[in-house]
Amino acid sequence: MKQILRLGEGYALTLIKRYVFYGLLISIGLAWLPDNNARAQQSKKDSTKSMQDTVFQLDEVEVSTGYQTIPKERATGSFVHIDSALFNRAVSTDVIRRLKGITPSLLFDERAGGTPKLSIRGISTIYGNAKPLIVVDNFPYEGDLSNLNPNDIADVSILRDAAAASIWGIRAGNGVIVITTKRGKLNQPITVGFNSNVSVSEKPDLFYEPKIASADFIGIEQYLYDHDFYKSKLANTTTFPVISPAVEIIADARLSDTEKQQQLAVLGMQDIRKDISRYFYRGVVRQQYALNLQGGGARHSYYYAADVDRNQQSLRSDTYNRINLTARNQFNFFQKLSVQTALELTSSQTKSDNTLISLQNAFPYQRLADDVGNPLPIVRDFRGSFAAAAEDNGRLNWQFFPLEEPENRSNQTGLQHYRASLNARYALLKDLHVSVSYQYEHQATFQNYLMGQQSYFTRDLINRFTAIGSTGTKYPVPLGDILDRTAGSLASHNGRGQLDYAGDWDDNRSQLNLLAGFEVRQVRSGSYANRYYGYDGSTGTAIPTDLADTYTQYPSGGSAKISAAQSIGGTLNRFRSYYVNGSYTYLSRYTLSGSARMDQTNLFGVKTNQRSIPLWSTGIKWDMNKESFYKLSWLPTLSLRWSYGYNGNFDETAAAYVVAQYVTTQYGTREARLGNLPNPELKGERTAVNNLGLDFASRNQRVSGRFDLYFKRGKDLIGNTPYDATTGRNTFRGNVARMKGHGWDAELNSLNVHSGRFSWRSNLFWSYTADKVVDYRAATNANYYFSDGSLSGYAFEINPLNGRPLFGVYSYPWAGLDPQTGDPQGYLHGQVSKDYALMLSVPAMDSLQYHGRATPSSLGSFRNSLQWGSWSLSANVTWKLGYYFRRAASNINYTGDVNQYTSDYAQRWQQPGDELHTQIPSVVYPQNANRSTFYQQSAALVDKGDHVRLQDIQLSYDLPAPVLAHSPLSALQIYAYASNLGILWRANNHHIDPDYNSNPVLGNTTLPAPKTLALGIKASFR
Amino acid sequence: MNIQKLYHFFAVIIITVTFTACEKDWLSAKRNLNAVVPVKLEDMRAILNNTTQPVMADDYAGMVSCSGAEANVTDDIFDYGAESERKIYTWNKTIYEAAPRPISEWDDSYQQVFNANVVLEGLQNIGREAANAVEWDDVKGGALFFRAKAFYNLLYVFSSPYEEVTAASTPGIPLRLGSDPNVPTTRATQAAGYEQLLNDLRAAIPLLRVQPLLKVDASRPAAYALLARCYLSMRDYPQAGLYADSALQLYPTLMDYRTMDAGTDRTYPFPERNEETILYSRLAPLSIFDANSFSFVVPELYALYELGDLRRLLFYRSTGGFRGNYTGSSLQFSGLTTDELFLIKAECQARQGQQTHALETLDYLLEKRYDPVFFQLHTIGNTPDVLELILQERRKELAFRGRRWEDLRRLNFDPGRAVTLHRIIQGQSYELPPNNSRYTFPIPDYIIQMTGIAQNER
Repeated sequence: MKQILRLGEGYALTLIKRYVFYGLLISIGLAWLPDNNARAQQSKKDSTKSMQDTVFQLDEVEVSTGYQTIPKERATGSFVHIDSALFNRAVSTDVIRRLKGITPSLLFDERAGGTPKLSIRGISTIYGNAKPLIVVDNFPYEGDLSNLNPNDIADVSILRDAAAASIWGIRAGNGVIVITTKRGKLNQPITVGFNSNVSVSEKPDLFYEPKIASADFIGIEQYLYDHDFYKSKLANTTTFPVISPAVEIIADARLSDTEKQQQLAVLGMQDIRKDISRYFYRGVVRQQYALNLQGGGARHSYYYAADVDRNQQSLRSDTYNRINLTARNQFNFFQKLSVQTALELTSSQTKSDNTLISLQNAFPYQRLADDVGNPLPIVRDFRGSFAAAAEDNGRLNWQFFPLEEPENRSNQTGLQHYRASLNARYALLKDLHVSVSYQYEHQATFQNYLMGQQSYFTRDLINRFTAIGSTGTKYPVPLGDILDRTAGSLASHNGRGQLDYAGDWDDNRSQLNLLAGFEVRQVRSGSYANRYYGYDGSTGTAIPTDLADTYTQYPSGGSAKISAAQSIGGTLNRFRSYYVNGSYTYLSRYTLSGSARMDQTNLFGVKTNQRSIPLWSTGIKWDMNKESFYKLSWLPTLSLRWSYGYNGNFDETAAAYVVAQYVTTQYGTREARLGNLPNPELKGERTAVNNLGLDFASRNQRVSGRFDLYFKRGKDLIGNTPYDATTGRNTFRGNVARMKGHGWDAELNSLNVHSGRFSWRSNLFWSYTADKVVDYRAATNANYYFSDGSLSGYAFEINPLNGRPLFGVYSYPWAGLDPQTGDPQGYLHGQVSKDYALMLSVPAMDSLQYHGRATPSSLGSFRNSLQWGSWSLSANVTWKLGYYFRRAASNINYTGDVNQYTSDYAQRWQQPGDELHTQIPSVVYPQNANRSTFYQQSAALVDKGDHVRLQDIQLSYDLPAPVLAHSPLSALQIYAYASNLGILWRANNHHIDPDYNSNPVLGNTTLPAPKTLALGIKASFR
Repeated sequence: MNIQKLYHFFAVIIITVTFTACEKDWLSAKRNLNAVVPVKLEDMRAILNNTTQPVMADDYAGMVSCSGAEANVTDDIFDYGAESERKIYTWNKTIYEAAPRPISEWDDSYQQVFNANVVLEGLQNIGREAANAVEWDDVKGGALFFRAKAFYNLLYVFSSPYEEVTAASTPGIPLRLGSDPNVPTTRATQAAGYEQLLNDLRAAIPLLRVQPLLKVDASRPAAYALLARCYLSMRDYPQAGLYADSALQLYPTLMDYRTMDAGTDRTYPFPERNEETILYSRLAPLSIFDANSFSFVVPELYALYELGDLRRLLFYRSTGGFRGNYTGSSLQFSGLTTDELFLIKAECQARQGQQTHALETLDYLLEKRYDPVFFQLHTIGNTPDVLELILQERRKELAFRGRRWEDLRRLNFDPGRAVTLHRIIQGQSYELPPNNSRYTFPIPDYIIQMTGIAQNER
């Protein structure tokens, strides 16, 4: 509670405090009243059992589609069900990461850092939204997924094929993740659950990035200086461009050669990463506290929870704190009417510091502090001597001291999210129910980014505009802080009316389930940004600033306006849908299912008749083991499934008409920027999915498993084709593409040993997926195929090639180095060649070598769990196979840009004979762009991405029931969880973790997640 | 809770939700606050207001700027340039890199054409009424003007210098007169191209306002001025002179350099959208070769500025870098101005034998360019070659505005005025003889591949 109060001060959310207080008070009151009878009925055995692993009782579970829950034995579709125990095996702040490594078909791509990109069964769209739909408690979740607290989740279902997902219509194309939160149960005594854990991890390893050694870069600078590269820069007294400390030494005429060598040698031994790691990073500490109270009487059940997360992130000034408060109730007013309500509040606060971004271009040998820890300036924007002299010239200090930045800036984002829902279900007849659901979701984010007057950004901006004249000094950008305020809001309404019929007749031989419904949904989002100049936080005042006129810039002499940094935006998405879904089961062994849905949206610019998108699916299941002829007693469960149908998707950026985006011009007028070429034929994307499934289990579930085989056909996919720029646009976007895909998902669970108090279980899954783009109208020039669109997600980097996977790795064939010159060599018409211009200009795709997919074709996991009495231990090994990646390529020209080089530079060809032990070409001057481009795009830099990693290890100890017998505790578990334990095997021999393929040359610097250890305790009280 | 009340409550929810969602226009709601399907007159104006991708007023003809050899770069700077830029700088036969990227001169000019066409088509569905007639006309005139200007730049860059006798058989540029992307691209003849743009400009004249809303907007003087510039490039001097005069009658203001502060602390002495500017256009540059802190005026040009010529100080830094852009910044200016019009008028008068008038016109400009102590009015008596004087002043006045390349293209046809351009860089010498096919740039390869239109010989 102390934690909560301390946090509460920061948030100033009296509402939440009150909520906690009254909510708990009321729920305790409610809880005590009706439950005295129920309490005694609950056996201790049950409550301890609930803590244990129940993952193997696969066939007892119900899967949720968000519209209904289906007993798995009647599901014709392909579902994955993650139950609470499996979900809670991992420790994390967020929900999504807990699915990593335990969910068949679900690929996590964390190469780009930040929120993992998810995909289920590969890719089904080219430019459309590629994210799976996330459904929480029956409605699509619009808020930030990090709002969800994992302690509040009951189970997760993954809908993979058409029969499972097509009920979600135009949003089902990428699969659906259905998350169900915890609820109280009727006739259950009050229980208080508590879970707390602390995770710690190391600092990230900055030296994982293959950066060029300082001494090597000084060598490059010396070379360039000798070739007069810096002559005009050194002579430039107009803009005073940046000169590196090493070049300053080299060019200093006052120093003798020996002095220069000594000073350069000192620089050569320094590495800025040491200072960055020392002054900016720290170990991560994440604390999580979760408290819940649940129970129920005959007519009312409840679930209340309060959760607190406090994360100290790896950057010293970065923190993330979150509070979740939840209240869910169910009231059974009388036999026919039941009402469920839910209210959830999330409040989070993120602090982050952006100083490191401005250090990306720092020279590698610069230091952030001297030997006694005093901050040192690093060269930025201007030459050091110019920046140092600014104060004497009547301006503000113009030096950049990275270590002083965090204290002069503050960047805080507060987020408030709430979700309120009401569901009423009324029994019209015995088998027929009508239900009405409504959910309102609201999220507000508010960012305050204060750049104090002492921050470099503010000093720099003021200085550039300051005019020093004979009549005095004028400050067009006023002295004082700069405050950027950004706000975002999101509000969604969901309403649904549904009729369900669930009946049986003919002595239960026929079972029929039908549902039909109507749904409306609106999501409105808004954002605005504003900037205040000359801000004074102590009085809350800012100084009005002239944003309309242009001012002369110092020192460049150009003219510029003061940036308004203002924006207003908003979107409104509306959906109206009608759906029916039904299944008929005969003799409990033949199940036939079908579903159809019509979606209408306000997709902008689309003609009215194309706003409606109809999608459908059908499926069959046959429980063979229930047939009289079935005699395999060792395999008591065997069933076959088949489904076929369509899932939809849409690309929000495509439009039928020419759409214009309004912005304000520098002249204060409005300008309408025209978008894509008109496309009156535009329609929604459809993916046909054909799924064959087999479920089996041996006696007593010793061995059980499933196998699904699927074929996908993406139709009318939105694609870009390079277009005749004479029309005004060099690309055309329309339903030009098709994709074909297939794959399989296998799951095998076994109880290997089960004797007395000891058991050993294994769980294996392996998912394979393949996709290829077919009928893609235009192949474009070879050079479009080198960027990895799967990594960046930028539309312009996605260039599908007919007959190949959407994301492939291509290169120029590699013929090694020229032994005489160290030049890279390729092939032209089958001959070894160094005619780079010609090799690059051969447009035919057959000049390129296709290596394979850029995203894994196989992913899998092998999890072993041992249980001995109250102890359990499990370890998960995961793998990704069947893909390639391109390593960061060091530039093979001499340039002054340090980010162009990697540590490969040290291995470059320097003299004949080197080609025997290196593949890195010689470095040349003057620049030869084609030679460098050829090398960077050659096969010499392509590696296989396959790897196997030890994902995590979990250890837990449950206090035995007898020990707890005389305590208020009904269960107590102590657990430890270690994750990111490293790679067991990798195909590349460059020590690259392909999940974190840091490529500094491309500006992507995602570092491997450091090893993390969590310790926690879980308890429940009667 | 009273059960009856509860029913009412649900009934209200169901009815409200159902009815709001069943409203006919519910699904027609605008999806993005900042996006519209342009249909209104204000939208058409806003399309012409584009100051980004494409900038409607700018000239996407950057290739011409370094080709005219007004400035040189040093050997070390040369290496900074992209391969295609170095090839353009040295008048190479092929200029595009193996790795193709969008060629702004083509793509962006046709984006301007596309915007103009969307406006012209949009106007067909907007009623012209008494209340909106002035704005409606001005928007239509603006669209015609900007389309003509884009065609003009495209002809300048991608079609050979205009020759009346061969124009009907010389390939020009594709003339896209509508926004329909399904119309195949073909190359019209040079004659058809010039005819189209001249007709568009003439049609725009009566529609346009005399006083533009902003100097990045089209106006009647701008249309006259562009006609003068076009006819000059076509060597139709009588027409060029007439249109220059028409423009000047509407807008004759010149800046007086004698009152301007040439102080060395002023990095760029001329403000943007200054009094001489009729249309404010910038020449989309080719990276460093045009950035005046890296390139230096050729000595031959600098030597033309005599003692007392105020432009020597106002235009150039002591290092030889150009700072006289009418953009108030390092960006190159290429807009329509009164000084250019006076020079066109003077040249056309001289070419039509009105030597005295020509000198009067010229002196009206020049007396604002010279220190009064050194300035002397020109007479037939003290001027051996009036036309030569005017052309020389033209070269000095319009330096670094993208006009030199065009003057070379047309003056190479004048007997005795043909020049061979020379350049030495990194010890290698390059030259461009007069009337060479390299005065016409090749069409981007990707356009040739996609459309099959004929490439320029080079």
